[in-house]
Amino acid sequence: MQCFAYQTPPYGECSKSVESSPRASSNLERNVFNESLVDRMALFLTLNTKTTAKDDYKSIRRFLKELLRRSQCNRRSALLAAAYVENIYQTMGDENGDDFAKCAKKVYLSCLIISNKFLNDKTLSFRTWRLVSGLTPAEMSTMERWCLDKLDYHLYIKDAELYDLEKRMRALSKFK
Amino acid sequence: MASFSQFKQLEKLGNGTYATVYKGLNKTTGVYVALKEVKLDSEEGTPSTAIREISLMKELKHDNVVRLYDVIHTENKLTLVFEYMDNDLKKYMDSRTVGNNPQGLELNLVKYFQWQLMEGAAFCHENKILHRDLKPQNLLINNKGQLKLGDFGLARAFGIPVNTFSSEVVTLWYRAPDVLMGSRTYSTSIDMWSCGCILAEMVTGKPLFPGTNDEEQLKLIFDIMGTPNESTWPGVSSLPKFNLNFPQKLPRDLRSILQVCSKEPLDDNLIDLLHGLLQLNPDMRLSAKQALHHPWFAEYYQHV
Repeated sequence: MQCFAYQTPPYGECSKSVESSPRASSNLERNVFNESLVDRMALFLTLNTKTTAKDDYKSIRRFLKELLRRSQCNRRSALLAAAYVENIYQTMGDENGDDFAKCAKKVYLSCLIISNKFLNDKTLSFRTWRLVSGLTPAEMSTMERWCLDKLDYHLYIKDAELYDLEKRMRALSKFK
Repeated sequence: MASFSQFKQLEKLGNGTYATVYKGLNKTTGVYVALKEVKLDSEEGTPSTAIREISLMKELKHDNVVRLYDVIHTENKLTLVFEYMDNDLKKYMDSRTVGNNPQGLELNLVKYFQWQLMEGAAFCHENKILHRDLKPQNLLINNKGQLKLGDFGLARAFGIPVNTFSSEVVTLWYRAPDVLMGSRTYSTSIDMWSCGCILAEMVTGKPLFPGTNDEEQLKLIFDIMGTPNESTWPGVSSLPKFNLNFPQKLPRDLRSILQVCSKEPLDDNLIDLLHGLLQLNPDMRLSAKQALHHPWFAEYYQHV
């Protein structure tokens, strides 16, 4: 098995060969559908988080695509994680202190780990997340805890709110 | 957020599904609490059971659901601060055993407990939350006769894609036949079966279907409720673990089975409610809301 940990593409450059995985191209329609979700989420994260200059739309988009492809998370987990990210940055307001919050990618990854634990009976282990992200369990533990505290464990988001989030994302993409 | 030093840890109350529970005293307010301690493993982060229990119980504020007051995160453990309850239904029933003979509860107490159980379940279901582990140990009671649902470690929100559901839920004795046969499309009906088993157990003092493995569990259920087939339960034969060689049994008379273990005469309404909750076919099972309108509870809703 190929070990992703050595590539750590979410934080570095992503090789072309990974993008054209045969699995994804086998279902063209679903692919287009998911691509547009990734587009919208990337734009949403770029606009809604306080990122450093190197995290531009392109790099966030590439990160998201890889992360979702490798973790095989479904759309609902992905969307729920985006809702958590929005809530975290909203509660923080102008507060400036946590270095961690400056990395939208890490915040999103932690939120995806949390949404995965919230939604699924069989959850991905930190070992798997390590292969996906290249981060150590200790780092992910700290990040997860930081996010849970910021969210104050309000993880249960009603369907209506999720639809609303999707609608707002769709509206955003018109500006792209 | 509360700090841990605010509480004095007292005696151990028991072990939950993924944690140890202690009695605690809030030194500032003088109020007793239950402290549920979850050990944190840096290799796996916060357990998903704790994540679900906290996030779901935060949404559930109801008289018949144990209140989660606070969450305290310290270096390597997570402490959930719950409302303190004197006892659980299992221990309470055990305490009433005479010699080696379990005793059923008085029927008016059974009715009061069952009513509160239905209220709690209805509230969870309205909020789109399944408990998935209803059993006497998880029903907490206090000296005022109040009953509250506790231990949401297996609970989950529903309306979520079904492929993420597990059939490894609910303690065996209270597990619904559709789940035992491998169905993952269950919904609120999974909790209602458990409520039926609990009702029968309160009446007789003994678990209704005390199986030791999946196969025996189904056998015990079919021995009393009858073996289902396509005409009594359309679709049953396509469940993953349905077996054409299940011994064919006819439904037995529930009243005569339970009556031998009860001192009071069991009325038609009680038996009818039990039949409603213990429908083999999950689509036919009563919902918590329907159960609350059942004639057996007439004395409660007619006075409201």
